[in-house]
Amino acid sequence: MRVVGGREPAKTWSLFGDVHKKPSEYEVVTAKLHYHYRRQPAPFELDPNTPINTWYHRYREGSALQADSWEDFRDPHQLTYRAYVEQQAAREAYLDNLIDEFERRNHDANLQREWVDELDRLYLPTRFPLHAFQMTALYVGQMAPCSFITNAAYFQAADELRRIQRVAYRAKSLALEHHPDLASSSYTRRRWEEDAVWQPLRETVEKMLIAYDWGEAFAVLNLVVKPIFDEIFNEQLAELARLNDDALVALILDDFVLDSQRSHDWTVKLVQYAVEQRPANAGLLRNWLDQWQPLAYQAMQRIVELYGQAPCAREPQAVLERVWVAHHAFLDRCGLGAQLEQANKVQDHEATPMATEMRKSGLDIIGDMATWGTHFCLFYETKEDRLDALMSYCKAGLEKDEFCLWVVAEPLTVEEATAALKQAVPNFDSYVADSRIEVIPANDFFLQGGKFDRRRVTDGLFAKLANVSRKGFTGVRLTGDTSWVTKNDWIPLCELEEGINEVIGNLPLAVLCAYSLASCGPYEILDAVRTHQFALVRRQGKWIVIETAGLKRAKAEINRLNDELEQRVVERTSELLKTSEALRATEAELTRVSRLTTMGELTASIAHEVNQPLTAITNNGSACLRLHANHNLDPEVLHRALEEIVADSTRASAVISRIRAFIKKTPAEKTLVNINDVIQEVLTLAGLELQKNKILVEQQLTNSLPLVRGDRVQLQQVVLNLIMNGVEAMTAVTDRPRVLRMQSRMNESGDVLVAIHDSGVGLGSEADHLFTPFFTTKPHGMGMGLPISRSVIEGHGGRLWAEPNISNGAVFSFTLPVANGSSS
Amino acid sequence: MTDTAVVFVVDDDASVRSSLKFLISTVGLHVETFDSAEAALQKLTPDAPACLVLDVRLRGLSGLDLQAELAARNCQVPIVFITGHGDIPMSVRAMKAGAVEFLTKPFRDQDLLDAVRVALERDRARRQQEKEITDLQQRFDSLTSREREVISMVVAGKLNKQIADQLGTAENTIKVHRSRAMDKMHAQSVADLVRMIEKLKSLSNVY
Repeated sequence: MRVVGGREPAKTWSLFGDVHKKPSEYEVVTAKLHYHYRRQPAPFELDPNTPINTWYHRYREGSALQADSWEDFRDPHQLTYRAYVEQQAAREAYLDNLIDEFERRNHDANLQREWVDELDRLYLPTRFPLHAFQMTALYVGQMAPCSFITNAAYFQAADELRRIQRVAYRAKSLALEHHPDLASSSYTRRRWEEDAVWQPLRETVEKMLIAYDWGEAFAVLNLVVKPIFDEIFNEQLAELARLNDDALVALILDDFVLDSQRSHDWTVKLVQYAVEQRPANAGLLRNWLDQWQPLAYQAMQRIVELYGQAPCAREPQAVLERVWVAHHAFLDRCGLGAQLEQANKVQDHEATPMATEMRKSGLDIIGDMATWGTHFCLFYETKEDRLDALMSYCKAGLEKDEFCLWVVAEPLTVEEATAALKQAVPNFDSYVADSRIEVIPANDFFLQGGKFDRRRVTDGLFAKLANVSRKGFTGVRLTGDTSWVTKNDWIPLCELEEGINEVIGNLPLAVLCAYSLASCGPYEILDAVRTHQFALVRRQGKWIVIETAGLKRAKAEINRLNDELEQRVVERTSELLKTSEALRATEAELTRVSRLTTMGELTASIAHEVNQPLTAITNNGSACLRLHANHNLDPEVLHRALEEIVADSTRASAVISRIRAFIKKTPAEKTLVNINDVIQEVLTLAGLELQKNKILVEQQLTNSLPLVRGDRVQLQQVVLNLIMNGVEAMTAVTDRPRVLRMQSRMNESGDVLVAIHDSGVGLGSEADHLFTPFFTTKPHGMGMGLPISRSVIEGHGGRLWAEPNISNGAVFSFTLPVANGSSS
Repeated sequence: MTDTAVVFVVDDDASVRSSLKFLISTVGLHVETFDSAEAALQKLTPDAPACLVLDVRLRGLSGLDLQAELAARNCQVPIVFITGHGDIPMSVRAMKAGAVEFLTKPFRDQDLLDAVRVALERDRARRQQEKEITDLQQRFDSLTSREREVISMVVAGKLNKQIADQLGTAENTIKVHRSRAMDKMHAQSVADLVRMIEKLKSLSNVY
């Protein structure tokens, strides 16, 4: 290629002439395909007013999401059609093989009826929302301003198609075993359209389908709906399936997680790109998040509740939290969750009431009140008392960057409250302008149509809390009057107060409820005191604190904890010292043992310890020979040399015997052993490892096998060694299920036979060397496992050998003679 | 080989040390033994030709570390490594750092003695070389600055006439300077002189 000094574009790669480097395959097939973006006078060569032109113009060029140029965006996975197809074909082959394997075992027929019903409720209807995801992804791809984005969106759509297809396939399979309705799409559609739990999600996706602005469609799908529901429909449903012994569905859903991760990755990249291009895009995306999240969360809640009703299900709350956390972690990755993180930090810090930070209450008698998590009530006589108290409470909050909400009721009016605040608080107007304080009438907060509406209150409260992160406040300080309460509303109000007590511990919230002494009878006063952490009474210009039992208990608890803490520190220190001693001793022992058992160390050890005396012997002997050849050998000298030689030989043999003794250290204990028990024990031991490597274990153990005589521990080690070899042979396998089959039976010669089959890479050309000591194909292997296993088995009077498995992998088998005098 | 050559043996195993001393002394060499690298470092200032027979694995500073330390101190005693467990990287490292030989225990006695001999010869040759340089240096230092000027041009191939012209003196004066310089340098011919100057240049960065 011509070297250019003057920045002329190169003659080849005309599309990339301005880039001055060779483009990748990905770039070549994906770049600059949307000739119609921002084309003048209209995207397509038609009358500018035809619907298609106006559509694109409005929802693409005119989208709220803008950038100077989208052409520098790149899919982090650099998927091209070729790469995508190749990759997914392998995944599909894996799933097909998986299904075959399970079909071979009659998996569907063995499913519990309750679980099948759950699948009917939970899993089969997902084809509908997934279809909406697919359509939206295609819309985003169609409308995207740049082909790099389009391709990523289209591949995402293809991923959804894959998922839907598998749901349909499962439906059909289940229908064949259980009842034909399962495969009827109109039957499943009825569930989707009529079951109450699905409706919020249905509303969400149907609204998503008509979010025509391409940026908004992208945001709703990839930032809200997909992250939440992928987590639910993949990870959470897989876990539920595993708990119900449906490994097939679990493994299928596990595979889709990979697809989801890809979509997360390109979404994160695109958001970062958009924000880099125009920082205002961050605010825009957050706005869309705020608009669409509530609906999506509602849908999430209903569906998770449904999950909670399935057999073996976890607590819905725990699942909800998982999903919420996953969603927010994803938003953090996109850079859209930073402020939320800060708020979370505040919450974690002050987890309990009466926590470390104290904040001004604005009321002298309280002095420094612990903040977040405080819920107390105030009894007042006159309007002035109330005004006085509540005002200083708000004032203190404003000075501390908190958001204050004052809900005013009879006989105070909003105007009076506002006027009082204006007088007491400097810069009051600017606070109002910043939305740092709100003074609203009770009608707008507590009541709905004149009646107390608890739902409205909690929604309102949570809305304000959500504002905290966004607007950068440190928390919410709420105070409300209760004078609107009627007899009928009293109990619901108390319930609300109790509800607040339950959650306030973890929120950046302080609540002060004002009760008029005049309108509270003794029972009401007792209720109010009971439902708050503590109470204040203002009477005749003086304040009195009423400690409730709750408060007293809390204080006592703190004192007790402080005392205990000191005690515990002392105990723990001595514990730690003891443990570290024990640990050090164990470590030393372990090092010693491992040094003598690992192959490399053993060789080095032997080599070194034996070499020294050998060298000395050689030197001494050769020296004598030389001197002798020169007739220079003094008998004294010879005598001394021979003494040295003998001493060194003794030393060398001592080393050898020490090593021999060590190897023989643990004498074998021979007892009567049931080989099936041994196999089960080892499978339990290796359970986690097997699960981690996605190994399917099949057991074909013959019942009532005769006992064998042997060392249980040694036999366990042999079985473990063979199983782990099988697992390692299968780690490279990704396109077919990893099956480990354990067989035990009698063979023709009347011995007990154990065979371990794997579907791994097989024996290959090294089959002859398998049992040779120090032969290994593993990069860090010692090559001692099989030879040792063989010598153990032979020591028990049996044989150990290997042969290839029928289709893939290998079979390792060993025999053991039946114990004399034992019966089945 | 009965000059004052010394072989220093360093090994942490007593029987190996004593047997090596025994073996090496059979060829008439003087041997001194040490049980650690640190001990050897303290005593290792040989005035006579010397070499080191060194085990790699020692308590404290290892044999390879000792090799590096000696190099850092500009001590060029040749080293013969012996070890109980050599691996290729270790031996390559030792050889690259200038060792004479790398033997694994147990070695043939002849191999060791040959290596020691080679090492001592190398040390002798080096000492000889150093002596020559020092001599040359001394001779060169005894030249006057005028003489040095003259021979630098002689060595560059200039004729006396040209040198006289350049320096602004008579040709005869140049001839005198030149012959005096050649005497002082003990050079028999111009070719000799050139060789000497080259040696000085490359080995002691005078010019």
